[in-house]
Formats: sequence, structure tokens, C-alpha cells
Amino acid sequence: MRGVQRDVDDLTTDPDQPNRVRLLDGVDLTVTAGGLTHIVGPSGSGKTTLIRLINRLDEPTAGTIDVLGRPVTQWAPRDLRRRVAMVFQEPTLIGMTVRGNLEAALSLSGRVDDAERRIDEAMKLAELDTALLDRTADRLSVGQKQRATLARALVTEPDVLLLDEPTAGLDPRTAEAMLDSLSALRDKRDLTIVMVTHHHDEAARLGGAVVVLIDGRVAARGDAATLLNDPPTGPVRDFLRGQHTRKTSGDTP
Amino acid sequence: MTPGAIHITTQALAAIEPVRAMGPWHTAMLLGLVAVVVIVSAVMHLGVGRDVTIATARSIVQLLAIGLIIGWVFDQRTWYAVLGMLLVMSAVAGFTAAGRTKLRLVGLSWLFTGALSVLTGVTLVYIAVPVLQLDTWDPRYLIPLGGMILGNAMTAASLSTERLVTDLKQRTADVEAMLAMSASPTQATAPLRRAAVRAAMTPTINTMMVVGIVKLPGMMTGQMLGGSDPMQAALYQLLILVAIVFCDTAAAVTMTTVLHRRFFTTAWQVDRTALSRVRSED
Repeated sequence: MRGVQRDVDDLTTDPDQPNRVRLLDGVDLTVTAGGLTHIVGPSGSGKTTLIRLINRLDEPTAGTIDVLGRPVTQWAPRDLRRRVAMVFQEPTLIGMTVRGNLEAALSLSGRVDDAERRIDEAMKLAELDTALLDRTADRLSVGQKQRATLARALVTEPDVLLLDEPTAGLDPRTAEAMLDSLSALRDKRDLTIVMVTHHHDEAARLGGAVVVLIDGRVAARGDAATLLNDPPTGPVRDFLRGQHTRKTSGDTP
Repeated sequence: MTPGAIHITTQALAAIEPVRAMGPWHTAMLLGLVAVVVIVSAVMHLGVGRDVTIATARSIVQLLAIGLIIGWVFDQRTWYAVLGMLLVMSAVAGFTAAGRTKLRLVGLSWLFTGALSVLTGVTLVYIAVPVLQLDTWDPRYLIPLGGMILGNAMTAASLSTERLVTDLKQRTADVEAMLAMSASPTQATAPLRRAAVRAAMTPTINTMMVVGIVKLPGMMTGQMLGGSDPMQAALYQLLILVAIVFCDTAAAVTMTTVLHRRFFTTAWQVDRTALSRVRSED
């Protein structure tokens, strides 16, 4: 079952409808199975829209998206989202305990057997203390909440994990720790990870493939180390050379 | 046919008919109170004199008109006159409720009308057949009870719908988090739908909590004015309160269940186009 890959061909979204803004234009992209791919780019470049197409939270007006060897339009929504989990930028725990969230995920994905073991394993992968299982969201720090949503995404053992700026709301130290966990996660599990970030230093740190989106188009792609050390000239270099790194955040060119 | 017998009958009539008939003269005297309000408004510069006058004029016209119509239905005493009247009332309630929600969805007014007429009908049948055991389509029971049930169900239907839409707009992220966890739109909106139904039931429950303590409800007051035994008036008030809480719940559950799917595509995506079709408050 290793045909895991996502093809995204000629995506165009419609300017006439509120949820179909033309954020992506002619994106043609294949993500390798079992690897880590970073989608980087300035704000408003269509990064989030792109990953929301993979689990079909949004719909393109033209183009096709193949996930795990099948067009998303041919997946039943429940089956697709059982295989493709997502962690949003804002940690969205549904109003109950961490355990309640993980159990809800298990029950929705139909994996009700062996719940304790699965929960335990997911908490380990997200590097979250199992003592926090019975805490409600209001008694967790932002970092713990984000780890809890990561555990919730992992508990169902998905094939693909989509991460939408998972460190955006975290302070630098917590963000570092989160990246360490993600790095460890990549080594521990055979999982395809697609991660959106506008801090490309995160990509440099975790390695893997990098796709640079600028104004809804793929401006560059390649291996993290190669691309980040020797970026092509033009807007990609402008973007990668500093403006959007964590340390030098800001809009000064 | 002795004079004595007639005398006794008259007394019996007087005992069950204590309401003093109001005529034009009584009404004119009553409007003296409105005149006082208008004067107070003028003296205190409240600026409501014109509105109070218009509101009073409207009340007179509307109430006399409905009195005339109901009087006609009472005279008919036929099932089709009663049913026709109830259906017209349902349509007015349905269109009013749909208008209050500020939603622009195709067929919404008819959906409200259909739901309100069916649910009020079911409630009325239960009240009329097993509870009161009426053996005819008696408009004296069916029209006022139906009106009260319908009026409250209308509010419950629009309140629950409005709350659901507001929550869907404000908590889209929560709903999408659930969708991303492979929840169906029905599963993803369960907490929102529960909150919407609760919000719609709260006013009725609050009324029931304090009924008779804080104020005497209208129907009980009316029945006592009509000469009923206060105990009977209380039991009828209980009847209408229970009917209302039942029909309110049914209306809120029905509307949120039927409507929530309109805000999702068949691919289980939040349909922002549908959600944006809400007239803004102004």
C-alpha cells in the first residue's frame, strides 16, 4: 500500500464565489509518499488553500487532485479524511478533555478496538504527557493544545498528515520543541507529511522537500538543503533570503 | 313555562356570562388612556406620541378584523373552516419566522410553513383527542390553542435557526476541525444544533419556572374573565404550557435538523456561499 502520493494538477480556483478565490493558478505538483514536504511562501500565496484541497475541505474549479492513487472527487469524504488527517493553525480542541478528543477521533474513524494503546501511542508521538489526558482545553497551554491536536490527528494512524503552520501561534521556544517532535515523528512513522509554513528556516531544519508558492504559483521546488542554500534568483531568492525567517521576521527587504 | 322557571334560567346565564359587553362607548372611554400617554409623551418630549397613536389604530383594526374572522369561523363550526383558518395562520407564522432569520435560502418560508403547520397539527390533535377528548372540530378550542402553540413554535423555529447560522459563521473553524476528522456535517454540527435547540427552549422553560408566581398568564386571566373556575383556568394554562414546550422543542429540532445540511456541500465542505447568504443586521 505504498502508492501514497498526492498529485495536484493545474489547480485553479474561482474568483466569483467567496470560498473559491483564485488563490492558486496552474499549480502542478506531486508529493512523494512517506516523505516530508514543506509548502513555503509569503502570506496570501495560497499555501493553506493548497493543503485544504488535499483533504477536500475546499474545492478547485478546475484541475484534479489525486490522493493515495485516486482523485479526491472519487473518495467518499469520510474515507478520504480517515486517511488524511489535518492539524490546523489554531488548535481546535472540541469542548472536552484531551482523551475525549482522541476518543472522538477514533470513533469517527471507526477504530474503536484497542483504544487505550492507540491513545497512549499517539500521546507519545506528539510528546505530550499522558497525565494531561483528562485535562480540558481551558487548562492547557497553547503549546499543549497544539500537541493535543497533533495527537488527535495521529491517533487514527492516517497515511497523510497535513499541518497548517503548526507553530504559528507558539512562542519561539515552544515552536522549537514542536519542530523537534515533528522531526522525531517523521523518523518513527511511515507517514507522508505536508506542512505549510512561512518560516522557511523550519524547512531547513527538518529537511525534506520544499515547494515555494508565490502568488498562487509554484515558484520553485526541490530538496530543502539544496534549494535553501542556493535559491534561484528573482522573487524566490528575495523570499528565501531572509524576509520571512523567524529570527528576522518583518517586512524589511 | 312558568315565570319562575324563566327567572331561574336567567340567573344561571348570568352566572356563566359575567363579562360586560364592550361597545363603542366603552372603547372610546378606554382610548382616554391612550390620550393620556400621548399627552405625557408631548409634555416630556418622549417623541412616541405618533407611534403610540399609530400602534393603537393598528391594534384596533387588526383585532376587530381578527375578531370578525374568528367570529365567522365560530359560526361555521365546520372542519374545513377551522382547518383553513389554521393553515392561513401557519403560513403567516412560517413567512414571519423565515423573515426573522434574515437568511436567504430558496423555499425557506415554505419550509417553515410546512414544519410549523405539521407540528402544530400534531400537537393540536394530541390535545384535542386523547387529552380533552373533543368530539367535534370545535373552533372555540382549536383556534385559540392552535394560535398560541403556533405563535410560540414560530419563535422557537426562528430563534433556533438564527442561532445555528450565527454559530456556524462564528465557529466555522471548530466545524471544519470535525470535518477534517472525518465527521459528517451532521456529526460536526451536533454541538451547535444542541445549543440552538436549547436557546430556543430557554424562554419557554423560564416562563414555566415562574408561571403564576411572577405574573398570571394571559390565557388563565382570560378564562377567569370569561367566568371559569380559577382551578379549571389553571389546568388549561398548564395544558397550553405543556403543548407549547412540546411544539417548541419539535420545531427547533426539526428546523435545525433540516436546515444544517444546507450549509454544506455533498462533499462535506462548509458551503461559504450559502453561509454568506444572510442579510446583514441594520
